[in-house]
Amino acid sequence: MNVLAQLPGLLVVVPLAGAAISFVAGRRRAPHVALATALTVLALAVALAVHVLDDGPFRYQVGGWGAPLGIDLVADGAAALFLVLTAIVGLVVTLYATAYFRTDDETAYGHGLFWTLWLFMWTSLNALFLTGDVFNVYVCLELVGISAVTLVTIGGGAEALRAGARYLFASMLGAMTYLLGVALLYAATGQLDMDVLRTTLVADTTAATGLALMIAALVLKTALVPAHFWLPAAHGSAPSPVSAVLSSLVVKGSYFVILRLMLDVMPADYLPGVEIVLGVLGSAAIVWGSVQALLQTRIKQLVAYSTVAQIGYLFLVFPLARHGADVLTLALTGVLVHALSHGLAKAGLFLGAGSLMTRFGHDRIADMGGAVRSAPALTFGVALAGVTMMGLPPSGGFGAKWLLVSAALASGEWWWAAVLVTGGLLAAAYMFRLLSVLLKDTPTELHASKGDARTEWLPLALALGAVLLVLAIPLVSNLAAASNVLIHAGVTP
Amino acid sequence: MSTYLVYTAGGVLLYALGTYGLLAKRHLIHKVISANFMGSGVFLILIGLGNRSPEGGPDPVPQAMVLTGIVVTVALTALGLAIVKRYYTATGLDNLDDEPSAGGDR
Amino acid sequence: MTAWLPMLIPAIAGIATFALGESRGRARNAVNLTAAAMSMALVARLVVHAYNGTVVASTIPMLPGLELGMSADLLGLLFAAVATVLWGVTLVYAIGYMDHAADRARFFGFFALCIAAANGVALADDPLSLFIFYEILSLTTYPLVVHTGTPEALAAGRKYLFYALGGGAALLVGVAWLATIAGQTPFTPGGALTTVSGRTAELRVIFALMVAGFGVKAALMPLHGWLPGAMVAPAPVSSLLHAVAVVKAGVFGIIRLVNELYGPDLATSLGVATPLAILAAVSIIVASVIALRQDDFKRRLAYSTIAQLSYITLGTALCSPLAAAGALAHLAHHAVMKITMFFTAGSVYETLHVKKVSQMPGLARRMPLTMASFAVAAFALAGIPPLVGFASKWMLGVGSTQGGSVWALLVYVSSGALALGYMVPILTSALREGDHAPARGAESDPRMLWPIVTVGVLTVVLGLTAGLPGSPVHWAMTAIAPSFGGWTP
Repeated sequence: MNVLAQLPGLLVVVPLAGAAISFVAGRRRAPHVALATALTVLALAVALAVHVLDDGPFRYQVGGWGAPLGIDLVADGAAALFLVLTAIVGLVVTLYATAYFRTDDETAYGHGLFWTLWLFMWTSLNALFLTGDVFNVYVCLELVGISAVTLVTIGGGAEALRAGARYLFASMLGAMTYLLGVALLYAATGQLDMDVLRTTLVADTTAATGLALMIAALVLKTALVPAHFWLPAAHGSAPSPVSAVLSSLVVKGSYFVILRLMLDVMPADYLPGVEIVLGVLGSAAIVWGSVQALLQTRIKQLVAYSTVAQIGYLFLVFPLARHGADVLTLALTGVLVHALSHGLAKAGLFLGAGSLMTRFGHDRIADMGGAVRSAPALTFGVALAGVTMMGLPPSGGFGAKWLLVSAALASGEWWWAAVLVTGGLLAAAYMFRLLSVLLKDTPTELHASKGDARTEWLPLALALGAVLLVLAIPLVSNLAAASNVLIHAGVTP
Repeated sequence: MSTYLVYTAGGVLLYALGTYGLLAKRHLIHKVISANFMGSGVFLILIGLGNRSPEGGPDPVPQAMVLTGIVVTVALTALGLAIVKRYYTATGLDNLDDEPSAGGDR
Repeated sequence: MTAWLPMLIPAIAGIATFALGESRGRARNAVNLTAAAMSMALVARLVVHAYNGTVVASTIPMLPGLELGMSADLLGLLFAAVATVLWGVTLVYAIGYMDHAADRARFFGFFALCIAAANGVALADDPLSLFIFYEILSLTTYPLVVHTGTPEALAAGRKYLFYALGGGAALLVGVAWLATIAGQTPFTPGGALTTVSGRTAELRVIFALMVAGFGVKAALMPLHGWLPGAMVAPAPVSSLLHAVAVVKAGVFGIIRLVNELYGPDLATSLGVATPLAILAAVSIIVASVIALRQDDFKRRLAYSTIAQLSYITLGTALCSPLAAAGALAHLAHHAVMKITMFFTAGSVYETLHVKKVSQMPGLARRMPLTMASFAVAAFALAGIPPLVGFASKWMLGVGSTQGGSVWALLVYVSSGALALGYMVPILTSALREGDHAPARGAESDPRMLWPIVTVGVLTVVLGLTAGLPGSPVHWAMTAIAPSFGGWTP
């Protein structure tokens, strides 16, 4: 038995086993189980990426059934990138959580369940990135949703419960609508496997309606403006490690499905005008999210609105994809780099925000002056994460912005470049508003208390990763070239 | 064919009713039940699909989808009810429109 | 690899400074001074290579189809040498100036990172690499501008970022657009855009975008607004960054843009050089006039800097070989003169808390060596022979007439008179009898005094040796000649 061929299955089974073991292991041993699981999953994800780079995309038949009846997992370059991102962020968040959830806080009634729920969510996310079946997408999305909602409410406070309830209802609306779309698609085609659909899809009103509903539902789950209403509260009131994974990874799960449906499964112009609509909504998200971030007075709300803005960039690939293989390659590589750099930087930023809140004992930005003295590494981490948000060199965010701007200029549709540049400047405005407070000179007695070293250094590590990503862009390009989107578009590396 | 249409029409109607309820109703229990309406509507359409082709046997795939969907919906409903109950205990509120008076946590 | 070291050594020193932390002052000073000495030795070696015709270069793959490249050519090395040598001098000064200040690890760390970025700008081999280091320079300067954390500093920092990031955005679009139509375009004397034909409208817009980007740091009016405000930064920052590294990165970008990206011929035929020249000429006159009316010492120097930077821009935009060489030489000369003046400003503030020209009476007797150095630099700036400013101004003036732009000569001459107009009152004020009694002991901390005297002496020495091989004048002419088809002066 070839072990490498089993990697997609292992990437789902290992975190699932970890989740189960952490549940029975008890509160004290659960963190160790989670750490061991995280390290294993990281190794598996890297192995999968290397395998895809060497031999190209491959499929894994769950239970040996095979499509169209069975469910296939598909490992391609893009999926490998998301899996590796999830594993890296996952490992750092797990480490951070060992410091964050350590205190025996009486009000934190659900903290003991964090490890199980988090590993369960990781399992579902991995499955979501790998699945090649539109119905299985539904199941994975719901599993992610259930664990995510529970994690938001884990602190048990009124605000968190309220945010969790809102998140849950948005999630339910999305789930049922997605399933209705699947039903219509199946009614028209009798197929659920994405690859079979790609080769057999013909013009048909029912199938098109189904796909449109699916995309609308996924847009809601990705929190693209104007369907972002649930995100700031949910991401802002969850415990910080949870906020980090929600903002950095969970929204990317549903986005990755949109990416595959739009660019791989559906022929060009199957849903005429939808690419433009998504591009326009993405642009609106960049502006609206940034302006809202600028207006926030609480640190995690600022970071959450920044996510609303950064999600917008991911949708600019769709209008650009209409302009031939070269522009598509640039744009797709651009959004993949963006997903990675935002994933690392946003996780760093949320963890950093959490550390600042723990030190200061509150979340008001205005009263966080002088953080640079008491926690220089933490402030530096927040600043570096900000640099990548702004898309300034040297950072992964810069690589993404450069690729997307180049794609826009090469396509002749320069206005997308204008949106990208504006977004970068707006990001600078809200990030430097925060940074100028952290750098403020305040009397020493107002300084924050010292915290655990992990909570100071791990945000910096993530931010550094987002910055150093700029050196890994050739690697990301190679993985993008090994994605089914580009292979099926006829791009030869 | 006509049976299938009846199922589809009924399903779409239920889905639409549920969507209205989920968005328009204030009471949290109403919202949870409305989401179940939406689910039932979709399941109805799927069940109808299984019987589309009289010449062949029944299509098992939609039925498998419905079974899976029911399991997922039960889990979502249970979680929803648990959150609603805890929210009510914490704030005394049965809807999300009123601001809770107590300060939030973290 | 060697081509990366002038950038990497200060960068490593900066990171080491952060790692050492606030308490280990001795180790911090040792690390920074060693790094400065190593960088100077390295740059000297690269200069010898470049003079012998060997340009050390290296590239790494970065973005699809584009590489990040460093190349130690004479043009870039001139800027790198200025930044590196004056970094060494400023370090000694800064160690004295910041003796009792807080947050020194942060200060010296970002200081070294700024020099790394400036050296990156100097040796960058293509527009993309130049842009990357240019933006890093903006980011690493911000913590130094807001170093004190006071409301004024934070406001100045906000203003600086507003200009710098806005300019950076324009530059990004310009560079990306150029890459879309021309691909990788390593800087080539005489122009790198030989493969592009037609597209004149696009090339004009790209030129304008890049000028807007570089113009911010070059303080080209109306993009100069950040510079006077940024003077709230500690004196070593004003001295090295706002007179040497940061602002010179802007004019250096314009020099690369005109001479080695578009090339003088293309810049002239597109009709983009003349508007740039006019803009620079207006900046020279307006900034000089504003400088006349500043009572705040550092602000007066800042407006003088704006005018002098536009000397360089104007000389470059004239697209005449002698003027272009004069511009490049002035880049080095102005750095030496202006750093002397900013050192003086910092020293009189730190020693006697004098911030304004009107508070200066008595200063010449209280701090004679400091003020003598200042006087030499001030006369050099006004172009009095045989001091250093004279040589480059002579080249700029003669180059203007050779290029057929007599009006530019008039601008240079009248601004020389204006320079006397804003410099002489400082000296007369300092020479007047006043409150500052003659010093009993040393006139200021020796770590501040001797760097001032060193750069003051340098303004004389460089002026006297301007005709010799290896002087900035000779160096600039050698570096500029290939851009004008092997022109020999």
